[in-house]
Amino acid sequence: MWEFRSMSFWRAVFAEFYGTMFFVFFGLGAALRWTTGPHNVLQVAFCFGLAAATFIQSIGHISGGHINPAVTFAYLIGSQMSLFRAFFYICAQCLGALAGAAVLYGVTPTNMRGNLALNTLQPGISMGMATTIEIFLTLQLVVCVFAVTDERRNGRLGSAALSIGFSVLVGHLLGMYYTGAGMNPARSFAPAVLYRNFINHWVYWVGPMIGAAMGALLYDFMLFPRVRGLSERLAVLKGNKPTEPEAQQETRGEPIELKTQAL
Amino acid sequence: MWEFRSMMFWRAVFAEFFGTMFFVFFGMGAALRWTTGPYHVFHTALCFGFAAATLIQSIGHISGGHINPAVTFAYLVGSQMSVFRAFFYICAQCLGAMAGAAALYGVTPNNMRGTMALNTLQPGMSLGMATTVEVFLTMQLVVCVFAVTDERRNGRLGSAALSIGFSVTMGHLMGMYYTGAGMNPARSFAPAVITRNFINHWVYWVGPMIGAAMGAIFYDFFLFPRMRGFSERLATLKGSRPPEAENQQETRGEPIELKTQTL
Repeated sequence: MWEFRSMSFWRAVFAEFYGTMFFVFFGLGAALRWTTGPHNVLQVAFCFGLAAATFIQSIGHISGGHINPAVTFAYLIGSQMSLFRAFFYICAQCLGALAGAAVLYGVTPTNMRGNLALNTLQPGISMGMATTIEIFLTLQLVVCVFAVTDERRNGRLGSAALSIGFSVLVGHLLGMYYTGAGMNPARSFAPAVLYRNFINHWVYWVGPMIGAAMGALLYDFMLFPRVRGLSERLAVLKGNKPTEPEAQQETRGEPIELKTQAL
Repeated sequence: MWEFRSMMFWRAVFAEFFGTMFFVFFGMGAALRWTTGPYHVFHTALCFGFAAATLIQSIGHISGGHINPAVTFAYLVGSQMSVFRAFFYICAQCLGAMAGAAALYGVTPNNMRGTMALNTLQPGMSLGMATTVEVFLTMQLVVCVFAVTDERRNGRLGSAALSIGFSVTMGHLMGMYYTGAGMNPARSFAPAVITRNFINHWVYWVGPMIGAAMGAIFYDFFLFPRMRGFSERLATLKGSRPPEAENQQETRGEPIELKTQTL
């Protein structure tokens, strides 16, 4: 486990903790029931989306700016990071989410806490429906993440962080009416732990993880295939190639001009 | 004090005055109680955020586009500008904020002035809670500012000004429910002076300054360490290094490809 001894690895893990902590703090903070009515969805969606954009911008060059266990899982499925790193990222994200929610709980007046924006299925939504929604929400996010961080692209991408933030925004604009728009298991996990309410909580892990896996496979094997042998993929998962995992994490500014292979 | 004799320095100071004046004019203008109801927060948050983005875009290449004493303080803590320059920037920002608020006062009908969007603690907020929220609000802003202006980065940044603007928007979307979202001591200072109401005003200086210092130290020493010796930092604070001090202020368009040092 060469990564264990690398300071940049631990900085990346802590960056994920920081990013997820603040993402949950600001996102849940805006999602509390300060007002009622339809406008609340627009405002909350913007806050989550812009929070994602801001924190990905802040830590993207350090850890890759996942701030979402589902995105980390997608990178794992796509063989773009080692198991070891993925495990620590997901732990850091869950702990960061808990920390953010706990601080928010502490600074919010008692009468306004409600259920701390706990994600629940809306009336009339069955578990199958909800899981399908979560899959779609996360699938679009993961494909967007993979597309904007693909080092083979050399077009006018604009801001990778902002693109991902708007992808989160879109997901919330629709998803909040169905499932509260989980998309991010850590975000759903934090208030569930604080309130010890895990009813239907599995939907917010299974849905996003399936969506993430589908997104990774769709992008890496079908939309814009990355041709790599099994042994090479296995080596990355084991963490045997120090340079590639590091390089893969950061969004690059000067991608190599590669011609798309016509299949 | 070599900076005193440099016309570029005074242009930068005036740019900060201009930037903060217009930021406060437009931000506070939108924050007045033109309407009651739920859209107020969303409306105001977008205006502050876009005002920040616009003005940072306008003066970023001249002064670094701080328009916020807390951001200036963060640069000071990060040893990226001299004490002399920081002092003049903060004075210019406070004066600019007051000028903007005074102009707004003059063009607003009597019955609409209200408290001139004075920042106050919301019901149920204690001083400790409010200060903590202000620390979080400003820390995320500062980390974002440092990340997007880091000349060592070479990623798909997109627009630095827009990223910072969205960071401000996101802070307002959540913070307005707690403290009115100060984040910027000059913005809180201006209406306090005009209405001569300084109740709990210290929260809007102490919170942001602590958050700024934490953000600067966190980014510069932990997340993405900048390897500079003590003597070099001291020289910058004294203003003994003219070329570096100038260069640090501006966001660059062609960052030098620097490899992050692995510790």
